[in-house]
Amino acid sequence: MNLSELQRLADEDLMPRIAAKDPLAFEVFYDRHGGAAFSLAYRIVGNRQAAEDVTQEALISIWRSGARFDRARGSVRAWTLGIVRNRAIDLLRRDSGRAPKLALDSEELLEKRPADELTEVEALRRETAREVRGALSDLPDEQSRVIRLAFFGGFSHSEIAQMLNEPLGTIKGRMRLGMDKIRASLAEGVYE
Amino acid sequence: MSGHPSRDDLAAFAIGGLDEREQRSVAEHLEGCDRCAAEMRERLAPAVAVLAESVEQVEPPDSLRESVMATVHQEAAAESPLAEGARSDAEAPARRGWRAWTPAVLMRPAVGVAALALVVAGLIGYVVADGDEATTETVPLAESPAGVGGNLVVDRDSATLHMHGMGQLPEGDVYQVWVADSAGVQPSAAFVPHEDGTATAAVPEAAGDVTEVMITHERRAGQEQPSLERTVFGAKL
Ligand SMILES: [Zn+2]
Repeated sequence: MNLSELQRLADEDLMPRIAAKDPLAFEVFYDRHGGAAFSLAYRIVGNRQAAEDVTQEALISIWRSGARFDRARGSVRAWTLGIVRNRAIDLLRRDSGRAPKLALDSEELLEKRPADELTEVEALRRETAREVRGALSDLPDEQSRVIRLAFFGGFSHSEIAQMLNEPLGTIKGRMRLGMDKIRASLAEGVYE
Repeated sequence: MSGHPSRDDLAAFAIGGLDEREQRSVAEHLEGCDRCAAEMRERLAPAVAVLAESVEQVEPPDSLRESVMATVHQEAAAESPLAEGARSDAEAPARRGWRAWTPAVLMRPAVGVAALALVVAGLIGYVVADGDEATTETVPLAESPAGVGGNLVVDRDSATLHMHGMGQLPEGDVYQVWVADSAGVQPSAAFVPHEDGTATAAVPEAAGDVTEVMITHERRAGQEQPSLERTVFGAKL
């Protein structure tokens, strides 16, 4: 299959060709998603070199494991950005001395250090970087804030509760309200 | 977790906002629960995608595309069964702990052996002084019960393994030579035998102070550890 034929394939039909190790198919994939992947990584890690490293790692892991894409779990785009997000958060957590989330066992979890080891400036940066498409800016501050801290900052709800000096148990509720509103706006076609 | 996670938990899970243990337990629940998996897929995942795309879009550097595509092309080429050597080359720099070794299949025709079996330096076995120009050491390797045996011909800085009785291999598989010295085991040449079961392979690692030579059957060249359960030959020197 040549380049222009590959370019006409939907993402979901491109993935089996990537799983079959067709480099041209991956080039098409890169041209569709590389920019969004890099932008997300950059938003999370905050510098271009680290963003480049994270994006490269994530994309290569997709190239190597393209067969693992499962269309029952969502779009190729969302799957890809999820991988980028997790890689970027792992880097943040490594750099700030927090263990990567998925590598912790329960013993380590009990000893997990609180988020206040991070400087407030750093936490603030992760919270306030610019979102241009409005998904978060339409939300009440208390909802957008906790969503930003979790999704872009890699903080758990209990870390956020401690950081914001709020009772444990309130944060998840705000996350849910915020996500419900984004979902509702999506249904209205606001972001499409 | 008893019962389904709450909607709060699912939303927090979707943005990676649970504590480690909770995050894991919801992930496990989703594997087996269609109802919660549908909630994730239909309602939450699209909202998360919006979030991921809400960030300011910045142009990635050209170097990103170049380095990603370079790796992709290299690995796609290495998928070809004819490119085992290329793949081993690509991986070699990552193999710390091994001394330099010979990744590619180094087959030399048997007629060339006399020319390879060169000069000097006695270690083990017996030394054959061949006139005044060539001293090589030929170490006989005792034949195994299965009829596999051969010689190791050593000179100062090279060594060549001559084997007989080697069974034929499935396409793509190789025999891998391993040599052991006081520092441990390291891989040497990989080879495929001739139709008559003989094989000749350059094994420069065996020119040193080697105590043992072993051959395993491997699914591909470039393994870092021998598949001991598929050892076809071993000899102490
Ligand atoms: Zn459930």
